[in-house]
Amino acid sequence: MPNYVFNVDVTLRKAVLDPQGKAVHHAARTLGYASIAEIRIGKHIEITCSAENETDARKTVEELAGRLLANPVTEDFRVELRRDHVDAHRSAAPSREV
Amino acid sequence: MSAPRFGVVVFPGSNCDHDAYYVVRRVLGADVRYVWHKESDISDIDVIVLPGGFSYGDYLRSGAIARFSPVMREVVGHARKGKIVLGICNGFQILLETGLLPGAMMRNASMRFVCKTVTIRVENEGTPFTNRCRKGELLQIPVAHGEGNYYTDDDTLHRLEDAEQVVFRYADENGNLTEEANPNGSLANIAGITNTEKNVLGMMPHPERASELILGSNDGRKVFESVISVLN
Repeated sequence: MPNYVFNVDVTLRKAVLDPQGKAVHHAARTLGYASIAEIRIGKHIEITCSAENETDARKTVEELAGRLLANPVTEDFRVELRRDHVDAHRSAAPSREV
Repeated sequence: MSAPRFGVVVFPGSNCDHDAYYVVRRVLGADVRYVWHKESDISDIDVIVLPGGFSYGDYLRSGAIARFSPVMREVVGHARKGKIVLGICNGFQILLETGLLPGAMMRNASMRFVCKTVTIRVENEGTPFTNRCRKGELLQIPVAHGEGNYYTDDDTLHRLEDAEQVVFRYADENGNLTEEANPNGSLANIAGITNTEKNVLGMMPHPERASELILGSNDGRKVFESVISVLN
């Protein structure tokens, strides 16, 4: 089964105050970056999932994100397939098996 | 009925388990045993204590991984039977992650770890955890946490308040709920809440660290004494 690599980004919900982002934003302003309007800080998680196809892999990763990676009370998450990894795997795999 | 038996759950990274065990056994003379997080039978236990600490190194979010420890299935069953569960600090965070209590913990508003004695006001004296207290009574109990900033949506907050599930709030020495008295930015100065049935309590302050006068306060004893008196 092919491996699919996903980026999962977990961020605080818009309604939730992000003191870490605020502190970093403040520092950016102090450095003179007046154009920076907002900074929100979250977690970046990379997941490799072995599955029959992309749909199955995404379903598994999204389920995991909802149950474990993000707390739905305060956080949202976004799951994105890493196209570069899928293509690399498909083209590289046959030659490696020689 | 025999004397109540406490069970103090030990996760990898718990560090207030010995304090809780000590208070129950040595200070209060009650029966207690440790419960390893992989245990699957806790039917001999009347009161489960989820102690403070940094279970699983606080990886991902405080309590997020402990919530899937095998023993937590048993703790949920224990709570559903109406038996008593007391979550202290990291234990409170685990109860939120498990869904036995509503809401979530965020980083302290100050972004700093806060370790000091605070004053909390008893909001509801009619719970198994506070029947030895008076309504409005002020207790001196230490907090020690980096993520104790309680958050929930407005609807849930109103439901908690209407059902008198808010048991403790951070207050000043006169009992006023001020911003200065709030060590972590918690919504509505919330320091401790119960579930609707009132048999599960989560609190950020550490009653086990304030159960003997030599430690500066024994107000925390009242939480344990309340539980024991309800079961005797």
